[in-house]
Amino acid sequence: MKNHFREQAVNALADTELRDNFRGAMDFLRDKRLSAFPDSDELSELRTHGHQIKAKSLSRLPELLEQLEANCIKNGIQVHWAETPEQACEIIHSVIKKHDGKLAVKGKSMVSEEIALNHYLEARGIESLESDMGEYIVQLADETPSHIIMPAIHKNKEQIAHLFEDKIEDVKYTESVDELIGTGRRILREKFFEADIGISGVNFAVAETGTLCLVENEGNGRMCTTVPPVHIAITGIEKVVEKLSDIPPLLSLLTRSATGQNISTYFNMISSPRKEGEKDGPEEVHLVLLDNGRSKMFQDETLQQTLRCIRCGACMNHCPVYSRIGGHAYGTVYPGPIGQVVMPQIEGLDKQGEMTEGCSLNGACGEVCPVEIPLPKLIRKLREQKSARPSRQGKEVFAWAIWKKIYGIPFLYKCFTYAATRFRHVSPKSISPWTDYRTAPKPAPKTLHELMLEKERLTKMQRIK
Amino acid sequence: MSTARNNILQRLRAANSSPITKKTSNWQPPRLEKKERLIQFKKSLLAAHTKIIETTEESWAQELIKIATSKHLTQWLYSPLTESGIAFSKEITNQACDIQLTPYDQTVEAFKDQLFHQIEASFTEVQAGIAETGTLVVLPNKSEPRLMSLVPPVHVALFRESTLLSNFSELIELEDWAKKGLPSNALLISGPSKTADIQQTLAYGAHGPKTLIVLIIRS
Repeated sequence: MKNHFREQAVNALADTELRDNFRGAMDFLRDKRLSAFPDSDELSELRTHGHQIKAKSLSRLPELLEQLEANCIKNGIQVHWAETPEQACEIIHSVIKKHDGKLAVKGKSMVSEEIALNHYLEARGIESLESDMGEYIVQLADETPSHIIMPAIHKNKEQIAHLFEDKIEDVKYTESVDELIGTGRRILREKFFEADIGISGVNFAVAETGTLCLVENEGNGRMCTTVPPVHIAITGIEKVVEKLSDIPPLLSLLTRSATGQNISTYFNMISSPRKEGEKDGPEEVHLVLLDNGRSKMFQDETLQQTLRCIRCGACMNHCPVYSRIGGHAYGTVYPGPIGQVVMPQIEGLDKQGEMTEGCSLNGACGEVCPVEIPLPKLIRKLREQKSARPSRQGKEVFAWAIWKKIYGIPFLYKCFTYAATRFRHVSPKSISPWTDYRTAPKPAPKTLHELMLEKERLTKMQRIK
Repeated sequence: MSTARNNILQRLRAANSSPITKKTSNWQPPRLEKKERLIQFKKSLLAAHTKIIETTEESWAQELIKIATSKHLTQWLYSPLTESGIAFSKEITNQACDIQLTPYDQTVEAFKDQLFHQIEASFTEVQAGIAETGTLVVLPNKSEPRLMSLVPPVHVALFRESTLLSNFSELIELEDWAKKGLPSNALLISGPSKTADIQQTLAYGAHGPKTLIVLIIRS
């Protein structure tokens, strides 16, 4: 089924409350990032370094995955491989079933969204509860995250206050953020206490030591990976890095680009389940490595750069399209520029091609990307692949055929531009539906060629004088 | 699922693209002079809403009791196996104050209810500090398990200036983790638990401690 990006984008643009919510959030996140990188030379060096680390790890991806697997097993972590979302869900479900699990608490993980894990588990009688505050809000509203770092960014506190009042027993309407968070804390603490399974994502997986690294501020990630007797981590195969010494620069790039923090409140490095004599921590740790189209992206030298992504969200924060239409308009797991590159590659251009058009090629995403992914170039490449297939119809085909003719013959082109500039006052005011949202352009009084010739003449005359 | 493993690895190996980048970088982790470190450390801790109390080897235990009495915290979790845990317990006996100490000397399953529903505060040591980001390096072990720094609403940490490092890279080198391997769980903690998930408004105590207090022993 084709994803109708255009229609969704138009609807989102008409929602003024949504636009206010995003405007506020994007301005906030951009300012935070800017103040986290006061030294532009340092930023430039660090981005190059991050680019290098990830590119180097990708160049040895199969070896590093094997090394990661071997070291995890040595540390007592069980490793599973999944080619598709279905396989990943099955693996996770079978681990839960083995332990007769009823309640799974989840830390924030976009890969778990990718495989639609919550629905899979709920359909099999297992409660799968999001515990990141933003994710909890989104799950309570029966929605999906609209941003990869701040999932509930599309809602304001009034909307969240109403949601809590409607959905949670004995909670009265309050716009106090401290009270709202307090409610979430009270409910989720009991869930951490009861849960038999903890599920998390992974920010970086270190091959040389078999370590899973998690970045977070709330502490729910630590709860999920420490309190329940079983911890299941899921990650895309591109998250593996070669060395432990690669982690500090990547961590610095991630938190500063994402939320403008020099470091997150918690950086959690997990290298083994509870060892003999230790008093807490999970008895079992599982790692699920998901492909889901990544090995396909790996085949193309240009598009492979997608896999450097460390999921900071800076590209969407700086995207003029995302900041106006919001994450849900994309209708995909990953929104914004990185989504426009990832989703068509995972789900195909037939289904997700339309979203590549939601880009003005302004280049902001590429400029802020902490690992220098040339996002505009990748979007353009996917667009080219998409328009290689005929999609134009009727009048559009006719208009382009005429234009091709005119543009191909210099004499015709000259006549056309002369006519367009001289008769500029009678150029059409409405070119429906294009002018529904835009002012019709009026040609300039003179063509660029004429202006350049005049300028040349003038400078010549001045030189003679 | 070994077929999935083989298929994935095979597809990756079949790719004839080589993503090696030609760029080279001169990035080095920022090094701070010894005297700059504590200034930067404290600045970053305060910025993240962590409370700081500068004290000495002789008087930190009294400071700790002052915190407990002024905040009316009576249920404390501590380690009976660390030197500082023992010193804390002695100080309570000496001062005969109204503080209930619970030792973390059994598995979490044996006292989970008490840990989640009664304990108000915990006291631990930290293994090191990172000046650049105002970070406490916490390496949970048999004496001080993982949940001590997470579940209690107030966490007080004892830090010695002599263990202060410039940056995270220095820690990795010093501990030689790449060769020796890491402990089961290693944590960098840089403030009390927090969230800005509701309309970018910062709120403390999302899931972990609402309050983080660092007792700094100057060297």
